[in-house]
Amino acid sequence: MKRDCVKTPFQTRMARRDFLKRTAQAGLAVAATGALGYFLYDPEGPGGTTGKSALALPDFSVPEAGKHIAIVTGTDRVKTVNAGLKAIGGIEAFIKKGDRVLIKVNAAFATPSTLCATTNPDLLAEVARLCFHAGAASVAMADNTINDPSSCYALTGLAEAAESSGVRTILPRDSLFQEITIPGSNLIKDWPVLLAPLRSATKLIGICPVKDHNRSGASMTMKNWYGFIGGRRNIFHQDIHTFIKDLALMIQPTIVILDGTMSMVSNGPTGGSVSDLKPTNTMIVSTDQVAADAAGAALLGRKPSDLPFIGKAEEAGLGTADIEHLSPKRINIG
Amino acid sequence: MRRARTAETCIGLLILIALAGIAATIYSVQSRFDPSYFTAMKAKEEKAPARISLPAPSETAAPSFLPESLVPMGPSQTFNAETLSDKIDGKAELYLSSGFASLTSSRFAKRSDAKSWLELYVYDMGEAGNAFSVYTVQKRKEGQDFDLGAAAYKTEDAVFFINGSKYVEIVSSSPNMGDEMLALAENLVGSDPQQNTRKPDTAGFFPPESLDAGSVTLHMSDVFGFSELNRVYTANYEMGALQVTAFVSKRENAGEAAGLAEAYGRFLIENGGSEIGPVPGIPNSKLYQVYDTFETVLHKGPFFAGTHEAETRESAVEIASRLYRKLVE
Repeated sequence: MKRDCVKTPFQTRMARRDFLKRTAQAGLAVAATGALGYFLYDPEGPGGTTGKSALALPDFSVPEAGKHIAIVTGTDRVKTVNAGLKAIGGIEAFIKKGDRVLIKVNAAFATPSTLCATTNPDLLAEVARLCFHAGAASVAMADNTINDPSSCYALTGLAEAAESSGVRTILPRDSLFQEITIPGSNLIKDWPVLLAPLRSATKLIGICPVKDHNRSGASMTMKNWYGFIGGRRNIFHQDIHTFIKDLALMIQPTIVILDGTMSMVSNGPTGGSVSDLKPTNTMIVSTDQVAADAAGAALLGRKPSDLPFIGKAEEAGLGTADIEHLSPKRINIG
Repeated sequence: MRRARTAETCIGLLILIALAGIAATIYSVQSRFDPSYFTAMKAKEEKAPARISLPAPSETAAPSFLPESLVPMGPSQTFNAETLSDKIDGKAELYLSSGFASLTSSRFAKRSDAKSWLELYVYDMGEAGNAFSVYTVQKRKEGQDFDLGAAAYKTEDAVFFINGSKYVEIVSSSPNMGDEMLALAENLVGSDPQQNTRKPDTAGFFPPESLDAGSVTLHMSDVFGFSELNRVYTANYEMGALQVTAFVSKRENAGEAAGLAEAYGRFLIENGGSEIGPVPGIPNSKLYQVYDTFETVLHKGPFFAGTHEAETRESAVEIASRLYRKLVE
């Protein structure tokens, strides 16, 4: 039986060739849209991991503020850090309204702050206060600690200081790491780095104590970036000086603050007694991490040349070990 | 093909304009992207950690050696050679090169003040000599020796001692825990079958005159930067304003001691030293000058000995001579 077709107003007879042509065009359009979506798809979302890649991290330095170093002597950390920051142009030269500031503390060990193996809590609180005063929208602290993170932050007193000063504590969860390769580095290749906090920040301040170190001779501002590294990072102790140079290559900070109020002159990096400390009463504030470490070496009774990582970093063009080149501001506030 | 009617064209254009508007909105929002917002949201999704605070003291599983005044802050942790650096980072090499077997660490709070706490580190070094080595290498100059066992000293905030093959550190969060630290140390020594009843035979190598007995140290590897030199005792001598370091190492036999003396001499010359000649009155000995310091090297039977980095030739020769006479005894 022949079917009767009732034509709608839009229906007309379509040639087979025309039908095939339109179908192919529609198919291509769907395939192209799907391919574009697949190409642009980020499986981890913002701040997450996106797989291995060669990557230069954000440059947090403020070139227009210039290269400076201030060496302040005094026993009160709050006073010395204020004097140091003022001497290099004031915190306002570096932190602007709306900045999201990340403070890289040394919270490596779950030990009391009296041992000075970790960043001093009062110093953290004061720097955070100054950042907020300068208009920072947020201040966070991060470190991939060696011991259990919660214990480290709690027992060092950093958690309490952070809470009281409005600093957000970023615990080193797996999802915040990404395997990356730092262009030009010898050792940081396809290695997990605590990347998400760095990507979220607009400014980066490193705060750490001056310490003796059994492998590298000293742990200061450049070594402090070790806490951005994940994985079985102790393997880098085999070539520690090259690795510290790589860390300095990876991170271009806004400011580094090297706390030599009490320097750990023996049995570092953990120490174990206040007997390992020496009152060196010095706060070093700098925009040049190599210069800061060169100045810090003297607090341990060493020369920059005794610490090969300083020379390697200088050779790599990451700063100067000749602090006089920066016309250091030396201040004594007693 | 039929031409589109005006109505169809208008609808089509409207749809295209709407799509363009959506694209523009996405572009605009994306250009003001704030990763911190998304990171914060993600952190919330992953269960934001509870407020970080001091671990609460717990009465459970208190070890038998624990004094009544202390209470555990959590379970103890054990580390092996693979994981030691997870606890002490760069200091691990010191232990690993000295026969390290395991580390057990535990924290205890003061029962009357939970904010005062201490951490106990018990390093099993395999044998007593290894424990003595890590004890002496790290010994704090300001430490006060006290009577506990073979070797023990205390500082303002810590206690350090060896107990058989164990090297023990007790580190407190405040200086008001001296009594608790001492009680814990005494209990540990009392409860461990490897009690320290014998002192390591160390000072016996060194002549006693002007010896700083507290300076005797056992170095296990890479001694004086020479990779072939291991298991060496050093001690300091006061010579007026000068300080001279003497060293002694007992080798397997006389041949090994002689070979080591020769190899160390070559090492000194390769590193800028020059041979001056034999040390007067000491057979099988040599005196070297290395930049501004003097070094003596000798061997007697299975002993390899000498002085290291003396500031004057006379002081190096004087201490080497005393050392030789002691070895002859």
